[in-house]
Amino acid sequence: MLIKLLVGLLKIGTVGYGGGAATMPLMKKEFIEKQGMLTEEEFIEILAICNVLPGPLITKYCAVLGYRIKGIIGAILAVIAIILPSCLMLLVILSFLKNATTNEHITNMVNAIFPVVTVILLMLVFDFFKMAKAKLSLKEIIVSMTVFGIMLLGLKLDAAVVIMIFVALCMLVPKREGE
Amino acid sequence: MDEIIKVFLAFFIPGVVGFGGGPASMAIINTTVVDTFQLVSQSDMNVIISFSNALPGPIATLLALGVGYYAAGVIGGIIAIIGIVAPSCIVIIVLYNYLMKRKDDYRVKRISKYIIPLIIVLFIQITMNFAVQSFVSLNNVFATIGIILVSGVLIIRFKVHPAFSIFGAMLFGYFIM
Repeated sequence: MLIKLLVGLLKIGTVGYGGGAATMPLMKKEFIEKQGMLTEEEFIEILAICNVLPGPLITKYCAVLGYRIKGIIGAILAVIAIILPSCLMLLVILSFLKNATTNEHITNMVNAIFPVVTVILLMLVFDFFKMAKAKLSLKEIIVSMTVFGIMLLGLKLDAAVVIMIFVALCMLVPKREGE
Repeated sequence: MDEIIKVFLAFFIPGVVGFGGGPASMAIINTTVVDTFQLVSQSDMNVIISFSNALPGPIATLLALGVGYYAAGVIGGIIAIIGIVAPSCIVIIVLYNYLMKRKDDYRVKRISKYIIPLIIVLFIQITMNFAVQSFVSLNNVFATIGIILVSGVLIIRFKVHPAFSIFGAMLFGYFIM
């Protein structure tokens, strides 16, 4: 059972692209449809809890899957399995770059990626905006973006500090009507 | 040794406060790594972000590995990965049953709702960073705009896998620029 999980995760770690939201359908296919390891309800239940916690989504999810099968060891192995393929690829690329950046072709090759990444990041901005619109009114989005903008760009507060203040406020402000 | 502790903290903090998953944490990681702990320069960080986006697999762990590796070798990379992954993995395993009961609590719902505008603000910041870097490092306005337009059309209109667009741009940069 654990071996099957790990093989599945190694596979998803090799092809899953674009972070948690994009990888989840692959996980669903592998572990519900192919392996029958989870029911649809369990899958959504685990995802709901992962979503309310901070930190990377996929690794949290894998930790839960591994833990259900073989405790702490299972959790650690599952996390390693999902990150190992891409980590090895990145290490190869970066160690190559470290020894080759003086070459003009290599520099151009790296520089040509930046415009594409700009496009990818811009798409992510729109995705997050869509996500915000599904949960908040336009007025709420604009007001909270302005408040966060003033804290981060105007007052130059650290992002981590702003989030901690934000979480404290969410916990302390009493329940409003309709919540 | 000092460097290793800084690497750990630079990823432990986003591991604790980075709501919204890996890609959403990219901007927070960027500020803690470059501004707070000054582990790598912004241009090195942009290289790391680029390749993390070009590869499959979870993005946050790739960023951790890249920064840790630049600052303190392979050991640094492993320490950084532990920093970003361990806090939330430990919390979810230890508190699974407790969280199960609380996931519909209005305070928890508030956090996951109102954090999105914050992520947008942070993201606009790093997107602008990247736009500037695209023009500065290529030092060729036409090439930059050309790559943005072509990859934009391919990715958004024709739904080409972003990894292929990145690979195409690399070939263009290597052979034609």
